This record gives sequence, structure tokens and C-alpha cells, in this order.
Amino acid sequence: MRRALGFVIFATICGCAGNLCLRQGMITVGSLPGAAPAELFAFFAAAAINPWIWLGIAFEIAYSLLWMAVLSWSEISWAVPMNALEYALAAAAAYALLGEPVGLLRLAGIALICAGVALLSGSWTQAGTATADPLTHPI
Amino acid sequence: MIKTTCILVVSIVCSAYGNVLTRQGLKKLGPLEDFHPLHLLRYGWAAVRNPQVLAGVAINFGQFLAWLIVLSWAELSWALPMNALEYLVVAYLGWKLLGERLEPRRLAGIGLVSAGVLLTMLSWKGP
Repeated sequence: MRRALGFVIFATICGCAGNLCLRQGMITVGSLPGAAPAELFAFFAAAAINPWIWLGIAFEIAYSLLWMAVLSWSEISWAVPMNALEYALAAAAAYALLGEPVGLLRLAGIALICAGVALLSGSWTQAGTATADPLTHPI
Repeated sequence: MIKTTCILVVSIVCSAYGNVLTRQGLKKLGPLEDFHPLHLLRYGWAAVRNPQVLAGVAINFGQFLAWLIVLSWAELSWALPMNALEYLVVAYLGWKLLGERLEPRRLAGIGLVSAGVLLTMLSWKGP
């Protein structure tokens, strides 16, 4: 439990750092102007040679490996709401590091999402035991 | 905002579908238990020759490209919580395709996530 919690926190920080790097990279690459093949090619070519993007990919790979380790130890209903933690952490980090204006509306939205995900994840365990019941669902 | 949300939905659907395909393929290979380097190599080789794993990885790569497009248009603190749309898609598919019951607790969760996604979406700043 404590090992899994440590890994989850570490994974969340890696995932958050990865997305911060990706966003910083895309700020330097610039907005995708249109969907013409030439525009798409130039856009992804610029992204592929951007060091921020590669740093972000490295963080995301670390995140995936840590997350796989977590899922091998814990139930999904416990692990998934930890994912929602990343939304809150990323909002704080994006405000502090990227200077994003996180208004009250967005904060309220993130808070509601985190509360909802916590409720939903609890309901998965109940559904899991319900389907495992041989009387209601003979398999 | 609408355009970005559309690409985000593409990214979410790709991510869910890619994960299902990869998992189906890896289930056929069986769980990874031996961590000897030679065995890891053999397992990896078997994985890349499995068409479902390959398709899953390709779709996940497409998802990453869509996510990069989203991040070129949207602030991170807007785009990341919008990924919670995935919980709503999964809840809907579970109800529609797998016949999962929508007990009060789950309905409440879906309601909170929906409200939160809506507020986050409306907090869009930009063109």
C-alpha cells in the first residue's frame, strides 16, 4: 500500500512534468494553423526536432512504466482516482511555471471532476463484486 | 474551443481503443513473469509480431499526435482536466454495450464529472 502510494505520487509528478514539457514545446512550435497536408507535415516536423517534446516523451515513458507497476499491485478502483490528482497538480504547476491564468471557473471545474472521479471509482468495485456473484450472473 | 474539444475527443477515443487492443494482444502472450534479459527480449519480440499489439501501439501513437495538436491550441490547465471526458465515454459504453447498472453512486459521479467538464470547457481562454 505504502509502496504503491509512493509509486503513484512519483508517477503523477512524472506525468505532470511530461505534459508541462509538451505544452512548453507546443508553445515554441506554435499553433497548428490548418489541416492541409503541408501544414500538418511542417507542424509535426517542428515538433519532432523540439527538445521540450523529447523531454516530455521521456517523462511520459517514465510515467507509463511506473503506472504499470502500480496497476500490477493495486485495484483499478483505487489507482484511477489518483489520475485525477494530476489535473489538480498540473493546474498549480501550469499557473506557477507557464503563467496560465487559472480562473475560479476552471478551479471549480477541476474540483468537481476530482470529486466525481472519486465517486465513480468506488462504484467500479461494487459493480465488480456484483458481476462476480454466481447467483445473479452465472458464467 | 469546439474545434479543440473535437480533436480532444478523437484523442480520448484513440487512447481507449488502443489500450483495449494492446491488452487483448498481450493477454494472448500471457503475463510477464520472468525478468531475465533474454526472456524480456523474447517477450518483446513476440509482442511486436502480434498484430493486435502493433495496431494498439499505432493507434496510441495517433493519440499522441492528436494530443500535441490540442496542446498547440489550448492551455494545459484547460486540456488536461478535459480528459475526464473519457470517464463519461466509458460509463456510457459500459451502460450501453455491457448492460452495467447505473446505481445512484455512479450516477452522482457521472453528474459531478459532467458538471466539472462543462465548467472547465467554459473556462476556455483564447481564439
